[in-house]
Amino acid sequence: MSPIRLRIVVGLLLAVLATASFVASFGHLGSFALTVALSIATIKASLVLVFFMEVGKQSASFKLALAAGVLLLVTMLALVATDVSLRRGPSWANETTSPRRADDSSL
Amino acid sequence: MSADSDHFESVAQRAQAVRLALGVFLASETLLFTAILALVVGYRATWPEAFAFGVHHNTKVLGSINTVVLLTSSTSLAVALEMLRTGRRRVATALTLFTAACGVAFLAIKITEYEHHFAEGIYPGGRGAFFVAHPIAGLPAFWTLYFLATGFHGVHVLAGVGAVGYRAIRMPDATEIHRFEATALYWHFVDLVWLFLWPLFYLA
Repeated sequence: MSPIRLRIVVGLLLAVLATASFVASFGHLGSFALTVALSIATIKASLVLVFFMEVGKQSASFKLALAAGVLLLVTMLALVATDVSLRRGPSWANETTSPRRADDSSL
Repeated sequence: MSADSDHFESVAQRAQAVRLALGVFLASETLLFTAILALVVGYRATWPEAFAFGVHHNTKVLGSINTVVLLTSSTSLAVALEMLRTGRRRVATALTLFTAACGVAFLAIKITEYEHHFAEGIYPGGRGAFFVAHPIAGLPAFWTLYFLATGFHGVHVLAGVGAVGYRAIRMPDATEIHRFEATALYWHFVDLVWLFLWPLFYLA
């Protein structure tokens, strides 16, 4: 397959996956809805990275820089997820409005 | 003495430097959007019902049209790069201009969405009539993060439209294709970010 035709096919595949995400959002998937949506998003992102950004053909230094960004992303999300999952006791999450600042005079 | 020999021994070395610089830039951009994503993860885990309500109330159709617009633009720019590599400059220029037009369309739709939100009384920071009518804990956080994430992304699209438009006007020759590649890499990165913002704020 020629490079041009390959990119057009990938573009069509991305459109199909986007349609799948859109249709799935109307299904009653409950807590799995986000997992399904982000899984399809990850597949689409992989297609863009491999076929449009041509990461496989890039230099080692470019890949290293990109990997550093991804590592920071994973680290930060893991830290936040850990923090949220380990919270205990009464939480400001139960307030009827957003968290108020400590210097809020209405406190 | 050519411009290339001012700082680099060859065009190939210059291309390598451009790609590395862009890699570092994209890594820093990843960190910027990671900070926003981390906030979304944290607040969403804290207020799942409020975020579900926010997503349900968002302009899903317009956001989804924008997804198709961005994916189309990325595809056209990827094809334009291949056209340039094979010497078909005129088609490459047309496709690059089409990409920039898609970027403008994306921004126009995004502005339409914002107008719709403002008309409903949804403003950043939980201000507006919408939040009085729906006093749900966490709802201001959802909409504030929505405006923050899509606003930052919109600024990146605007910069991308400028870069892609400039590239269409000043199409590089065969020895300078790395300039076009750098612009395309940035545009695809902006597309990548949207691929994750779309499900988080519009779908689930």
